[in-house]
Amino acid sequence: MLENIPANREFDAYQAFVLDCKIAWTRQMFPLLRDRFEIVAKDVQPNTAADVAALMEGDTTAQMFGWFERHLQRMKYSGLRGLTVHYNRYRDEIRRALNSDLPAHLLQLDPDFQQPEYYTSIDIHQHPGGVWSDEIAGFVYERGAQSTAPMLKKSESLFHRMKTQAMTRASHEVKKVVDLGCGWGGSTRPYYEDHPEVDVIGVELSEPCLRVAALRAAELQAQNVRYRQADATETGLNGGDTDIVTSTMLLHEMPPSHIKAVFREAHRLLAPGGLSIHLDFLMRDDPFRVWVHNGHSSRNNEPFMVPLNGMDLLAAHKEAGFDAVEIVPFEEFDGALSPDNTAWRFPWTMIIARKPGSSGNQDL
Amino acid sequence: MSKHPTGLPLKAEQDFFKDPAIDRLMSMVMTLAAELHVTRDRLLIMEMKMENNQPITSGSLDAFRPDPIQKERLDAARQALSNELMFCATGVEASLGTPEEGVGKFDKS
Ligand SMILES: C[S@@+](CC[C@H](N)C(=O)[O-])C[C@H]1O[C@@H](n2cnc3c(N)ncnc32)[C@H](O)[C@@H]1O
Repeated sequence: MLENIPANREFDAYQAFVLDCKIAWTRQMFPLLRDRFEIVAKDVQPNTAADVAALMEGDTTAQMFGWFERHLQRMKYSGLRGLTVHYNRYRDEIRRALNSDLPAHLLQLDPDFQQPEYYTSIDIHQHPGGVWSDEIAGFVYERGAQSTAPMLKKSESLFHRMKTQAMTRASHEVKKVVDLGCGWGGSTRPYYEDHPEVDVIGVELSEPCLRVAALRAAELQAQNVRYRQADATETGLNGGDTDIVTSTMLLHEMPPSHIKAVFREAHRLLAPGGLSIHLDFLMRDDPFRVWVHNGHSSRNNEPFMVPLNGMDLLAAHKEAGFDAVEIVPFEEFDGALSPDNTAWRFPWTMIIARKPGSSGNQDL
Repeated sequence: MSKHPTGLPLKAEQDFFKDPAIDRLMSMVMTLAAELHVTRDRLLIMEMKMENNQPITSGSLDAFRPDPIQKERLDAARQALSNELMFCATGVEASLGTPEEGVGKFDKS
């Protein structure tokens, strides 16, 4: 079982070393890149990411910055002591834990499920085989998420912050929450753990991720959550009775046609007055940061970040039946949005809409 | 070479430098650096065990969990290496060199 996976100092030492380099990249190399940009942009006014790219062409710091972003992530997952390589040695233990008897209410798998083509064609965030194809991929992803955003001490606090945002913005009593693209359940857990009275459903494509999510819920003896294998665009859940439809880092992993379909599905699921709230990455006003963001999209195998960033989200929400959309920066840790924070960070942003209808406060 | 579960071909790795040989060399340097760290870490742990007259077996080294003082020492050694490597990548001078406009202004003759 999972607790039988032995400690391995060499693996820990390797991963800590890669993470150290990533932290230096975040805190030292990124501000240096900004300095380089400010020098070359002194007499010109770059308006777009393409302008910035042209200015930074051939800059060695920019090349180093790109190289480290791409390859530290590669080393983390598939290097000599990468996550997929290391945990492959404990496949049997992981398989046994993930296939152990869980309370039936926790997990609904679809044996005939067909994965969408966009999903199987790209190994998202450089996870070899994606987070879906290998039975241990969900467990590996859960382990890897502990160091995705090195400025966050615990990724859990980000999930709690997001949950608090959603719960405080809900206009009426919350009885049912659907978390789309729930992965290994990190974004779902604060809802079911902190609110035992709320009925929580996590929807996800990947069986290996769903199995980890269900196992963690079983360990916590949760009674109020279930995980369902389905496409977020077509959940198969009852419509019209959900108070919050949420997602965390889902939208940037899908093409615009799917994103629009997610908004339509959110609208269908929601009760009148219900809240649609997605946490994702948008960077629109600073050409330097747009250039960095577009680069990240390519370097980390997350190609749909760029089209998401360019989408007309108001039009997409209106088409889905919402009247308005609010785009709100999200502070993933205290001080993250302060101008004093010169380190690299994801441009965390909440995309918020409310289903029209009668249920008290209609303000966003 | 690993094969992708979908059967789709694995493409050429991305390049960042003008000469793609630099990209590949960087990968080799960082792989070696990480491995050097892993080996130095193991060596330090062996020294710690020897200082405490503890038996040294391969299994006990794999399973080693440092106490807070040992952790501090091991973390510091790791950070010294990673900081140095990342510093080398920044291209910033480590000591103040000659001003770009030359030294004429210092000559008061
Ligand atoms: C970056 S992960 C985030 C997981 C989780 N929400 C979290 O914050 O840890 C995005 C997840 O979306 C899932 N996903 C991608 N496309 C999806 C779709 N069409 N329907 C449901 N899930 C999807 C992926 O399998 C992945 O687990």
